[in-house]
Order: sequence, then C-alpha cells, then structure tokens
Amino acid sequence: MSGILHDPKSYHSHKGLYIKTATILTVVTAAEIGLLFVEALKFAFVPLLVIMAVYKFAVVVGTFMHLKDDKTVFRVVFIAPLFMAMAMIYVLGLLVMPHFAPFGAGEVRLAVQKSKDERMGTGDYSPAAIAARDNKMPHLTKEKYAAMFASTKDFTAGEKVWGANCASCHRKDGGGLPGLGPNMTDDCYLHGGDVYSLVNTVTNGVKGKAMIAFKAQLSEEEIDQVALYVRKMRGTNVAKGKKCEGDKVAAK
Amino acid sequence: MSAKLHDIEVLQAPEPHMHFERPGKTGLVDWLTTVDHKKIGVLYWLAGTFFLLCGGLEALLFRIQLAVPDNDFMGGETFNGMVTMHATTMVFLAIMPMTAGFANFLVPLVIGARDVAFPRLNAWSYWTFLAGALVINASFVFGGAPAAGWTGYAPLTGAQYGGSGIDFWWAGLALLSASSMAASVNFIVTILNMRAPGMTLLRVPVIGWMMLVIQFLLALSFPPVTVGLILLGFDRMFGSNFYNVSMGGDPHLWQHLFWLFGHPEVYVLILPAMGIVSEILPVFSRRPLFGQTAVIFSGIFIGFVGFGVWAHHMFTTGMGPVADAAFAATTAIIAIPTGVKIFNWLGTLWGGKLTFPTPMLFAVAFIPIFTMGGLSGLMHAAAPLDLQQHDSYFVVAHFHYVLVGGALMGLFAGSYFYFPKVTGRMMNDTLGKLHFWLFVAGMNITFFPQHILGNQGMPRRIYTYPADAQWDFYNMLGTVGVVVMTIATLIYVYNVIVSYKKGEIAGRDPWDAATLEWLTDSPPKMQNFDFTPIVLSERPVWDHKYTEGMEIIAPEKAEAFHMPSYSWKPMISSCFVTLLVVGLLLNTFNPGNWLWAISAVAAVGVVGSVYAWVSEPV
Amino acid sequence: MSAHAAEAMHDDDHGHEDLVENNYMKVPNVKLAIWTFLGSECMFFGSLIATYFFYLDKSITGPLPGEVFSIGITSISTFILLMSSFTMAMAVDSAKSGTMTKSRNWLFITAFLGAIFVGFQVYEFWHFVHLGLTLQTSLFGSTFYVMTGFHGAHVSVGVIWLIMVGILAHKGNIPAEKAVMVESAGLYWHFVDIVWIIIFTFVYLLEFAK
Repeated sequence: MSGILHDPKSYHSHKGLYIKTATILTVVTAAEIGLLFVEALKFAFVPLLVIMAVYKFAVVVGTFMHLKDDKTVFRVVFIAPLFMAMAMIYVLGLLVMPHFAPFGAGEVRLAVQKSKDERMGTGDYSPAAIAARDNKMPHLTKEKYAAMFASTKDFTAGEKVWGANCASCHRKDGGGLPGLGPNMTDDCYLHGGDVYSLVNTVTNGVKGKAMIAFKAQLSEEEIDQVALYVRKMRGTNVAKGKKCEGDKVAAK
Repeated sequence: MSAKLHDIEVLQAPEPHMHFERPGKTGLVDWLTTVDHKKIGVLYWLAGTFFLLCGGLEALLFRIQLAVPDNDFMGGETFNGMVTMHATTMVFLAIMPMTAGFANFLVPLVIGARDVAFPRLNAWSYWTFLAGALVINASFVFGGAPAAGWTGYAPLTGAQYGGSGIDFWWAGLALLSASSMAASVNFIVTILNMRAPGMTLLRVPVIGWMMLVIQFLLALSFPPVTVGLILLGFDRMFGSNFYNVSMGGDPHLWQHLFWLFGHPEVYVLILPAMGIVSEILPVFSRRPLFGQTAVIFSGIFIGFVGFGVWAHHMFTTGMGPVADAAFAATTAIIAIPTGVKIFNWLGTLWGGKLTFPTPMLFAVAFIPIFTMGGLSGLMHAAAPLDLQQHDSYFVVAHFHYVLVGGALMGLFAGSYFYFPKVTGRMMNDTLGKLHFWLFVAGMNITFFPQHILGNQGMPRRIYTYPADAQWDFYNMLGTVGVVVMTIATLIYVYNVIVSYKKGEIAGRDPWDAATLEWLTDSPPKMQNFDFTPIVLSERPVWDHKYTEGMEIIAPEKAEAFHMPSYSWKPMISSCFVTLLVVGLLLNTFNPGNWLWAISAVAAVGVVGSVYAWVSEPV
Repeated sequence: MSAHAAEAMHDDDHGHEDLVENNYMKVPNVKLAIWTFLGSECMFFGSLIATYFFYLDKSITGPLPGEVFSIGITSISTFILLMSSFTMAMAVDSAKSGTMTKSRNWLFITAFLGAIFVGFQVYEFWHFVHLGLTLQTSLFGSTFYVMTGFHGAHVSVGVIWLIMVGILAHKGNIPAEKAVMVESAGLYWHFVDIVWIIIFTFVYLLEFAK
C-alpha cells in the first residue's frame, strides 16, 4: 500500500516554487505581448514568440504538473504522444503549405489554388500569380491595409475611382444594374468579398463577363483604394439594389 | 516436454475474505449493472458475434447482386448502403468488439489481476459501444443506410450529397470513439499497473502485450478521426465549411484525418489476432514461443510505425513524388516486423510435437493466409503499382485476406481456445473442424479470384457490371464462396450454442497451457484468483507443472481484499451521452425546432450521473 | 494486502474505484489514467490545430484574422487562465499537505477563474459574430470557432470537474491520503492551460506578428 496512498506528513509544500513559477509565467506573457510593440525586433517575432510559448509550456508541465521529477511512466505516456502530435501537425502542414516544406511538396496547394481560381473565373494560375497570392498581395501588406482602412483620404480617393470606372455598371450607390454589375452593398459576392479577392477581381477581371481587367487603366494604389471602398460598401444595403448574387457572406 | 510434476487442478487456497460495498445482483439486472470484466467481455463478444452475422448477411446480399452481370437484385443506392454498412459493421461492430471481448476477459487474467483498473468505466465503455452500434444501424429504419463507403470520403458525406444515413454514421462512430478512448485508457492502466507481483513487462504474455499496443493505438489514433467526424458533423449540422469545396475547403483534410486513424486501426484489428495465435501455437507445439521478446518488440514496432504510413492510402490524390516516396518507404519498413513474427511462429512449430485440435487448425492456417494478405499489401507500397491497383478488386482481395484470413480467423481460433475457460465446457471438435475446412475453403474461393478480377480492371464499389467485361465467372465464384462461408459461420454459431449447453466439462486447464489464466477455475470465480499469484517467468503455469522448484505456492492464510460492487451509474451515464447525440440528430432532421433542448437536458444528465458516479461507494 | 489494509480501504474509498492492490508501477491508477488520457488529448488538439493550419490563409471571404482579433481582451483572458493554473497548483499543494479546507478554497477560486475565462470566450465569440465572422462565413470562421470552441468546452468540463471535487472536499469525502483526486483534476486543468498557451501564441500572437 505504501507508495500508493499519499502521506501528508512526509510531504513538503512547494508553495514558494509555485509562486516563483507564476511570477515567471506572468513576466513571459507580458514580454510576449510587449514584444509585438517593439518594431525593431519585427524580424525575430516568430522565433521569439515560439521560444517563449515553448518555455511557458515546459514550465507549466514541468513544475505545475511536476512531470520534471515524477515517475518515468508518466513521461512516456505523455511526451511520446506529444511529439507524435507535433509530427502530425508538421507533416500535414508540409503536405499543404509550401512555406512549411524544406523541399517541393506544394502540388496539393497548387491544385486547391487552381480549383479556387477556376471558380473565381480569374484563371490566372501561373507560378508567379500563385506565389503572389501565397503571400497575399505583396504590395498590400496587412499594416498598409489597416492604415488605409482607418484613413478617410484613401476612402475618398476610392470613391472617386469608383465614380469614374465602376458606377456605370454597378450604379453610383453600388446597388447594381440589371444585366450588368451585381449589387456591392449586400452581403453576396460572386468572386469573394474580402479585400484581397476584391483587388484580384478588379486587377484581373472575370473572363467571359462584363467585368474587365483594370490593371491597364488603374494604378496599383487606385485599385487598392477602390477595393477598400467596395469593402466598406458591404452591408450598407442601399435601396432598390439588385437581389443577392453569388455566395452569401454573413452579415457584417 | 518432461513428465508432469504437479497438477494445476489440485492447487487450492483457502476461500478469500472479500469485501463488497453492496450485495450482488442476479439475473438480467446483474448483466445490466455488472462491472465484472469477464461478464463485460462476454457481452462484448456476444455483441460482436451478432454484428458479425449482420455484416455477413449484408455481404451475402450484395454478393447475390454481383453474382451475375447486369443484375437488378438491388439498385445502386441500396448496394452502396450495403457495402458501407458491411465494412462499418465488420470493422467497428464485429471484429473490434470481439477483440474487446477477448481483451476484457483475458487481460486481467493473464496479468494476474482481479479486475481492470476502472471497472465502472469499463462497463460505461460497453454500453456506449452498444449505443453507438444501435445508432449506426438505426439508419436502416430512419431514411436509409449511409452510402458513402466506410471511409466516408468528403464531399460524398457532405450535406448536399450524403443522405440522413451519414448523420447516423458519424454520430454512431463518435460514440464508438468515446467508448474506445475510455476503454483504451482503462486497459493501458490495467496492464501497466495491475500486474501480479513478479510479472515484469517482458513476462506479460504476448496477448497481453498486443492488447497493450492496440490500446495505445486506439488512444492515439482515435482523436484524429474524432476531430474529422466532429468537423463533418459541424458541416452537416451547422453549415461550417471544412469539407465545402466552394468555400475553399479541401476534401483531402478528411482523408488525412481518417487515415491517420484508419491505418493504425488496421493494426488494431490484426495485432490481437497475432497475440492469440502466439498464445495458441506454443501450447499445441509443446514448446515455448520462439523468440517471445522479438515477437513483442516487433508488435511494438508495428504499432509505432503504423502511425507513419497513413498516406499510402492516398497515393492517387497527387501528394507529389516526395511524399509518395516517404510513405512508400515507411510502408515497406513495416513489413519487416511482420516478417519477424511470421518467422517466429514458424520457429515455434519447427520441431514441436504438433497436435491439431480446432484452435490449432485456425492458428496454423492463419500464418499462410495472413502472409498472402501481407504480401499483396506490400505490393501497394510501390506507389506506381498502387496507382494501377487503387480502388480495384485487387485491394478488396488484399484486405479481406488480412481481415478475414487474418483477424477473423485469429478470433475464431481464440474463441475455440478460450471457450472452455469462459464457459467451463469444451467446444465440439468435429463441428469445429467442419467449420474450419468450410470457412477456409469459402474464404479462398471468394477472395482469391478477386486478385485476378482486380488485375482485369474490375473497380470496387460498382453495383453491377456488363456481361462483356468477362468478370462473370469469378464473381459467381465469389458469391458461391460467400455462401460456403455463411454455412460455416452458422455451423460455428450452432456449435457455440450446443457446446454451451452440452459440451464436455473442461476443468481448469484443458489444453495443458502455459499462462496464468489457466490457473483459475473454468469459468473463473468473480475474484479471478483466490490468492495473488507470484510470477517468476513468462510461462508460470507450465513452470508450475513441469519445472522443479518453480511451483506456484498457494498461501495457507486466506487473503482479504476489496472487490468492486455492481453499479447502475455507467449505464445511466452512457444513456445520457447517447441521448445527447440523439438530440443533435433530431435537431439536424428538424432544424429550427427546440429539439436541441434534448441535448441540453442530456448534458445536465451527464453531469449529474457522473457526480452520482464519483460519489457512489464501490 | 492485509485485512487491516482492506479495512482501511473500506473507510476511505468513497468516490474511488481503484482496486488498490497490485499497483505494479507504484503509482495511483487514476493518475496514470489521467496522464494517458492527456497523451490522447495531445492528438485531439493536435488534429484541431493541424486543421487550423491546414486552412490558414485559405479563406476566400473575409473578415480575416487580423480584422477581428483584439490583443487586449485575449491577453487578459490568457492571463486569467494562466493564474488559474497557479491557484490549481496551490489547491494540489494544500491537499497534499493535508489541509483540505484550504484546498477546497483554492479549488473554488480556480473554478471561478476558469468560468471567467469561458465568459471572456463567450464575449469574444459574440463580438466576432458582430464583426461578420460566423461558423459559416469562411474557413477561418469554421476552423477558429471549432478549435477555440472545443478548448472552451474542455475548460467548461474542467470547471465542472473542479466544482465536483470541491464539493467532495467540502463534504469531507476526500481524505488527505486521496489527494490524488485533487491532483488528477489539476493535471487536466494544467493541460487545458498549456493547450491555450499554444493557441494563444500560434493563433493570436503570430497573427499580430505578421
């Protein structure tokens, strides 16, 4: 029986260690969040964040769950599956994401992209186009988009582009015209409603439809601005707009 | 082997003092509330055998459809349903429960324990399994069987294609998954922690080891498919997009999650049969298992590498040459430990004093038939060849050789071998041999020609074929073979019933066997052993009988211990879990009604019953 | 096992079903079971996280993660869950020191913190739905809600578990020798915490780091 049932008299409290551990965890978590505001370290964000997460993980498992100095059998039944799970995530990532792979294993990714493009009607799946889409739009970074989203200047500029190029088919207020452009103020999109899809549709147009490619007529910036304008139109549901066409995206 | 020094039949210890929280129940209530691993084992085995007959009937029906070209015995949709249900039933509701039956009955006995680590959880596993089995089969009554194949490939199972049968299918499988998870944790703890004194890990019999390996496989391979099923359920119930191609979803995700489970599952089906065969061969060869440690370690190795081969089911999905090559390599590697086992079985037979009662016949026949299935499987490791054979009858022939000639025959062998221990009576040997010869003949008549059919280009899962395809002779042969196998199985069932009633009384050790389960009475008492055996070798009962100075000595003083009492809680809790799933199903069929409230009530019931469970003294 | 030991077991085996004899590895059954179960849970959450990565950046409609995530709220709830791990460790420590009343209090504090975390998650979901991200919107919506939702479900189960153990401790049904009952609940609780550590970094922080 001894060794199975716990004997409180022979137990030494770990209170001090736990308080220390909690402090360390708090500090590391604060460092993780604080790190995001240190632009100078941006190049090292990913490795630093991963290292800190692994460290926190190890501290909780080792100290709070006291795996560090518990019986070996616990380590065997927990750590082996943990590594298996990690391997599984990595291999599945390898099979679908080129940037996971040390060598070329991106065919599946390509096939998926192809089917998506065909559905979207853009049909451009040259390696360069796919590479561009893998990195989203290299020219339109997240930060840039966020800044544009907040600025009224880009919005007004987008409105102007809209009025000159789009309003003839989509109506001035975006409500769409019968037989021509669809309603851009509802929650339905034929070729994707996120800003990247919109940029893509404006840039490359839709083959076989009235939507022409604007890359020859508009600058990159103008396309970004009009895409932003269209993105912001969503859900405004102007009066007498055309009825829903394409996939319904949840109401914003 | 030398002459017998001691007789196991006369080994007696004083009646132990057992403490029970509550007096036991009798009759039907006893079966509903039992926490005794032996009774739960019998329940599993009976359910497994019942579903074996169901799955066999389904096979018989679709083989009638395929017997002649351009047949209209059943339509395509019915055929798909039959094929799907045949495979689902055979894998999840027949072979796995029969295996679970052996695991439940034998594991505590072979390691010298009095019960599993968590007896009530064990009962919960059984009732949840039964509920899952009933939910899957309920699809026949409510709107038709699932018809997307047992692999349930997306998007065939998606809301716009798969009928209501798919809902029953995923919900039932989710219940089976919960049941298997609970059982696997339970058995891992039992085998690691409940061994008799002296039973080091390498003294655990091969069957105990194989059960340990498959419990790890279940514990670690069921989660991926559980996730896959959850995603499928969300897609069907709530309109999420996991397998929805029009929203960018990728059906390959399902294939990966499914085969991450599906391939280890293959070893879950075959390893117990290997364990049973490894127990039977030494007994009827009268010599210890050749290289027992190698057999054990190759089993562990198979289990481990079994997690790294899943994508060889997906060579045709265009993963690319690097992934294909990697998975082809791991698949080829896994043949090595399997070969080690086959070599060791042959080494056991070599020079042994062989006798051939029914269990030995099945065990010996297992070796070449399984080897054939293994070799045709190895052929699929070569990706270019696999591209030709994928989804053809060649693959059907391969896995039926492994699962019928391998897993099922191993389980038959085990049934004949352990029947006297379970019931106290011998099975009829003449009927058993008739069963054996008919079954082996039927099995080979059915499945051998399918190798040829596959190479002639007959695809899987087609409900009929034109006469000018020239597949009619082998298909007719296959149907005849299935009829022969059906007759053989019915003889077996008849044999079980007759032997249970009128079989010859067996005694403790009818086969003069080697391991601890033969130390106890047949059938074993509730407490399994009157005294805790001390284990000094991997063959304690043979050593007791044949080796000077290695006797098992019964203590003079009666032992005292606590035994778990019956409990209603596992079944009640399991009922609430089932109700939770049924509520979700009802909600799927009548969306917008307040039927999800059933699930909410059931969730409260689960919490309540678990609280009652933990605060109940046992 | 001696008759005396059986007697002792009779007194204190409430709510426990180990057959305490033959503990070959010299560890309590229930603790080994929990660790094994957590190994299995690694594969469960591994599969969910793998699904999230599988579909990362593949949504064809917005809103995108960067448009909905809010670092403030998530950091606070992460910190609360992290601290609940500390209070849980204190509950186990008190139980092992034989002070069950203290342990009970720590258990209830932990359950309370866990409930706050679940509350934050409910708010976060509600907030995201209002930003236009639902389970049906996109692959991001589907994977995000199912992954974090199943984590939230695990936390909720943990809260219920802790409350149950707390009630048993309050009723005096957990003697100090059975501190393993608190410890097992604790192991599960720490596990849901470490899963969140991974999700917080790989789903939220790396999104902001982009």
